[in-house]
Formats: sequence, C-alpha cells, structure tokens
Amino acid sequence: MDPLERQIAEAVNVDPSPEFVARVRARIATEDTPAVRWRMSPFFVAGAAFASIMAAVWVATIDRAPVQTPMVAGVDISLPAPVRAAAATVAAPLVRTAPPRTEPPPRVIVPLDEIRGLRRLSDLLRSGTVALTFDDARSSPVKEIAVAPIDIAPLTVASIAEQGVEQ
Amino acid sequence: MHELVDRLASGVVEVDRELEREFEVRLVESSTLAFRVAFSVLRHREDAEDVAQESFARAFRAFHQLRDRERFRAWLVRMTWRLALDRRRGDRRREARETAHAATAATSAGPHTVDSSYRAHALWRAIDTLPDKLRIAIVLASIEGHDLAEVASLLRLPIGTVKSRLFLARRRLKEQLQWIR
Repeated sequence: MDPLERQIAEAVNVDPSPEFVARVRARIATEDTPAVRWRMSPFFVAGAAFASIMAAVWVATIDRAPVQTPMVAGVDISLPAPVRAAAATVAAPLVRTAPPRTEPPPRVIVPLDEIRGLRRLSDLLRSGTVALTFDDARSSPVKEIAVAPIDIAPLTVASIAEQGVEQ
Repeated sequence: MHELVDRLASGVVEVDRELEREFEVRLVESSTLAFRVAFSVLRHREDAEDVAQESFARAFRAFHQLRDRERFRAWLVRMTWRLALDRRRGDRRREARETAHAATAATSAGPHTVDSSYRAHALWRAIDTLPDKLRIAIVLASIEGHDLAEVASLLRLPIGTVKSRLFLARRRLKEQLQWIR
C-alpha cells in the first residue's frame, strides 16, 4: 500500500464508541415505525379517504332499501275539486316564490283504518251521496252558559218493623 | 367484517415487525460506515456520532423505500455526508477552537508526537481542499474492506469513473503533501 494511502486509511478508520449503536436504537425507538409512516403518507391518506367515501355511499344505499310496515302506509289524499281549487289559490304565491324542489314532497304516514275512512268519505263526496256543509249556527260561539237546575228527590227509608223480625 | 379488520390489523403489525428486524440488520452492518463518513468531514467523535445517528433516524423514516441493502447503504452515505457538511458549515467556531487546541497540543508534546500530529493535520487540510466528488471517493476507498466495486456501488457510479476520481484525488494529495515527506 502506498504510504499516502496508508496514512489516509489510518486517519479515516476510526471506530465509533461502543454505545453508539445502542444510542441509535434508543433514538429509533422514539420514532414511529416505518409502516406507520408509510400509512401516514399522502397516497395512503387519499386512498383511505376514498375507501371511507365508498363505504359511506354503500351504507346510505342500504338505508334506502324499502321497509315493510304492515300497519301503516303512505297515501296521497285526493281532495274534492272545490277544496283543491281553494288550496291552489292559497298556495299559489308560495309556489311562485319557493325555490324549485328536486326531491319529491314528503309523504304523510297515516294508519290504515284512517286511510279507509278518508277514501270512503272521498268516494261519497265524489258520488254526491254526501255533501259537506258548514253549519254556522252550530259553530258560532256560545254567548251564555245556562245550567238546568237539578232536582233531588228525598230518600224514603222503610221502618225497622217493615224490614223484618230479628231472629 | 370484524374478521376482515382483525386480519388487516395483524397483517400491518407483522409488516411493522419485519421492517424493524430488517432495519436492525442494516444498522448493525452500516453503523461504522456512517460514523466514519461523518468523522471524515467533522473529525470530532461526538459530532460524528450525532450526525450518523440523525442519518439513521432519517433512514428509518424512509425505510419502506430503502429495504434493498445496496440502496440503503448508498442512501446512508449520501445523507451522512450532506448532514456532516451542513454541521461543519454551521459550526465554524468549533473549528477555530480545534485549531487552537491542536496548536497548543503540538507545542506541549514531544518531537515524535508533534510530527505525527502535524502530519495528520496537514493530511486532513489537504483532503479538505479536494472537490466534494474526489473527497468522498478517497474517503470511501480508504475505509477498511472497501474495494473499487464497493465504492462504485455506494456512489452509484461506474467503476471507471470511481477509478479516475481516485487517481485525480491521490495525485492532488501527493502534490500538496510532498513537502512533508
């Protein structure tokens, strides 16, 4: 070996202290594991976010499945023509100013027996069998409360002799 | 669903353990290399250990990309070299103190010690004047057990390039140090 090369080798080949590797291990112990760091990389975070979104969409799809309800059902109540016309007149300004709706209007949940009753009433109104009239006299407020006097008849008690003989 | 999550979690834990085992192997086989690279720049044992330790910490953080042995060692040498240069640039005052200390030691020691100390100081000064490319090549080639192929692998250069750099470095050093011989 050339004297110069030997001199350089002597200068460079210095060993670290015996505790060096232990110190490095202690330092490494304070760090996150490599896989944790990999999991925190931007690509992994983006992938995890995408997977979360897909899972949320999947769960939302499951929740939208129809539920069987034997006792109640949704109905669209069809009103008589005069009522519909009046409702349209009242609601017209609201409809004009309201923002356009993208979703269908909410459905009203009504018990089945009430639905049958309302349908029956609707059929009767349409066929003219029944007519809706408003009795203003009956719906006017009561002016004076009149309470009829209560008559109490006196009690009649039979004498002991008439009730029988003690045995 | 729970079974799938459990399997994923156990798989991730197993990957963590395997990476840590591999890193331990790399640490044991490369700790002296990192220290010597840092020492060749800093010439201060504690500083060199600090820098090498920082290099290993950074290597650990990026270890999922550095599992290949050759790649790991090449990355470690480059990182240690850069960190050591940064440390040295940021610590000029220490260098001034060391120079003063070396001068004091030289005047208070015997003739043989003065001679070897002076030679070593002159050698390091000559190495410091080399361009970075030549300097790291001569340092790596002087480390025990390193042949041309190993240096080429660490520097990720062709062997011919390493050979020519070593030739240039030695020629310049001889020119600078011929007055000592």
